[in-house]
Amino acid sequence: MRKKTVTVFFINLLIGFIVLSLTPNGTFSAAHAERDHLVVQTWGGKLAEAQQKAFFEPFTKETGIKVIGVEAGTSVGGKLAAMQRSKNIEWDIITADYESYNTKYYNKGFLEEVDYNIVDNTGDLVPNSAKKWGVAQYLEGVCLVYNTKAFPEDKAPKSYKDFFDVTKFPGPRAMHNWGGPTDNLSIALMADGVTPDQCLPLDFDRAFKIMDKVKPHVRVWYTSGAQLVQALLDEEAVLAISTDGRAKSAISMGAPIKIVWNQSFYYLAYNCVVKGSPMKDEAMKLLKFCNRPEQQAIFTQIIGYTGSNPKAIQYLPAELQTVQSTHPDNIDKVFNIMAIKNAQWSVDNVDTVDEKWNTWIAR
Amino acid sequence: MNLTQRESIHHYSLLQSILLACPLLILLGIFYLYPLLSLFPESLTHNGSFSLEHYRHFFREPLYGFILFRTVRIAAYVTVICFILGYPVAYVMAYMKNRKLSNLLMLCVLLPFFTSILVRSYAWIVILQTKGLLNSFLLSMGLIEQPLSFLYNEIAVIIGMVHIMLPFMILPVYSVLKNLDRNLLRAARNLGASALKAFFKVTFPLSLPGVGSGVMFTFILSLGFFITPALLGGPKTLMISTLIEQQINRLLNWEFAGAISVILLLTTIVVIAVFDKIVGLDKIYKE
Repeated sequence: MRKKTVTVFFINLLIGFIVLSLTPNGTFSAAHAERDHLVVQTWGGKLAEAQQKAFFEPFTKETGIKVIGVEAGTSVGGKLAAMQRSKNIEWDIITADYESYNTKYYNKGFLEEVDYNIVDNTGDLVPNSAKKWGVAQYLEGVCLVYNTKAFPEDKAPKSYKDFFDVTKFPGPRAMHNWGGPTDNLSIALMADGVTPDQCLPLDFDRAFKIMDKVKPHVRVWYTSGAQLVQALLDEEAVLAISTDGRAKSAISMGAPIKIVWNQSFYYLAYNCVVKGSPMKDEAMKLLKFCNRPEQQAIFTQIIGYTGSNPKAIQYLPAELQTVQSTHPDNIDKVFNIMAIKNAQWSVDNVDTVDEKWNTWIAR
Repeated sequence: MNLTQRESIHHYSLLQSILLACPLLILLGIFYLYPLLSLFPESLTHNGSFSLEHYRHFFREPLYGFILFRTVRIAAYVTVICFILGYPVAYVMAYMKNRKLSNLLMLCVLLPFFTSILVRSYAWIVILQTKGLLNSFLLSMGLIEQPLSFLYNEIAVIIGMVHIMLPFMILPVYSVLKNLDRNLLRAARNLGASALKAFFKVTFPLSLPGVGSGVMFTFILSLGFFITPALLGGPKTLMISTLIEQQINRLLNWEFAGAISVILLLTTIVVIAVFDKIVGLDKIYKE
């Protein structure tokens, strides 16, 4: 009996080692350091499909370097931190994140500085595109949308002020609750007559006072773009603060909504190279490839987001050209929210804004 | 039956027991104890030096205590509802004469385990949304005139969580009921107890070990629930695990995330201790 137990023990010990070797940090998995392909983090769905077809596949065709897109869900920051701690760099590039997060990642040492000797084609891109930690890929607009059945042309809302006016514009509303709520609070302040340049640092009391008025009427606090599109299609919300990409895809799916361009603004979404990437130079080459206008035009046609290179517009079909925020007719109406006065404040105070927002919204 | 069972238990020496438990202990040590133990000192660090700042912050800001209380409350609701819904099912399954039917019931209970939590949560969205199954049914029956909002509130979260947690309640209760000595029940009935009285005096008290483990499973797992509240709930169902996730993934404040986790762990231990005082877990697990 005793002998048998000892045998069982050793078999178990062996199993334990095998399990251990399978873990990312394990002794037996050192092989990962050598890689012959790029691993790019994506957000999945249509966006990943657009990146795949517009950038990754053509890049492989031209250079022979294979690109694999991996979906990370919402845990990008956590994964980056884990990679740096374990010195096991699984991704070479992260995509489609905003300045506030990227700055945080950079300051924590998660991102490489962009090598502008390789990425030498950023001259055509919209202002603020070439940062030391990344290069802008596309513009994500934020705008007011309304249901045309609930609000016919003569009664249509015209600005953020109308979003917060529940007597003149009754009906359920939608707003995002996916973190980084500085924009929501800035919109509330703009509705109260504050100009974009005066929004920061946020006057929390004033902003939440405006938000209080609309809170009981917000039926959908969406946490994903898909959820917003669903709410617009089901007419679960007749007024929404939306991203332009999602609004456009809801329209193309038959939602009876219209976009109000007045007061709308955009974020730049960046591609960044992960610190310690074993394929750093190849990653920089992909960053360069992503700035090409003809590739960005393919991207826009799949996902709807406007590319960071205004020259991409000439490669788009005529009907798509005028709805891009980089089109000469629109570029003066929209503004970059990260280029307003004191924008750095919103980067430095993400934690506080999140906490205050959670406290307000959880009740 | 109990007597023969006890006799059949082989008594292992201490060394043998340790060796047999070794693989599990190693696994738990590496993947549970080590991360937990490294989390604790990290939660006591602020700007590189020892500090209680993160714990102070937790109790200074009203948000965290409020959300912790809500988390415990929702977990308690889910546990109670699972017990009320699950016990009769376990009872029927254990006492059903028709073998095939009881096997079918067992399959129905186990089936949800084969589907991912994500899929099940999305299925509830399809059912509960404004233009979903439930609303169109109620509308077509003429019971309501305007679609109701079932989704993105606490009720939706509790429905979704109960659905996922039910097997964790049913299975332990079932296994205890199934192995109950039926002679005890017969004796009670023989001595003149009504069916109801026999149930409350004999069957139910003897099934308490199963109920105890079912309640523990359901409650502890519910405390850490993440996906379902995020998908089916709204801001009013924000639970503590979502706050931890925000700190880890977006705000990258792992020290504070550690502090919240430690407080959640302590809360769990306290709640179980209170439960133990009231119900007496030690009595439950005594043979």
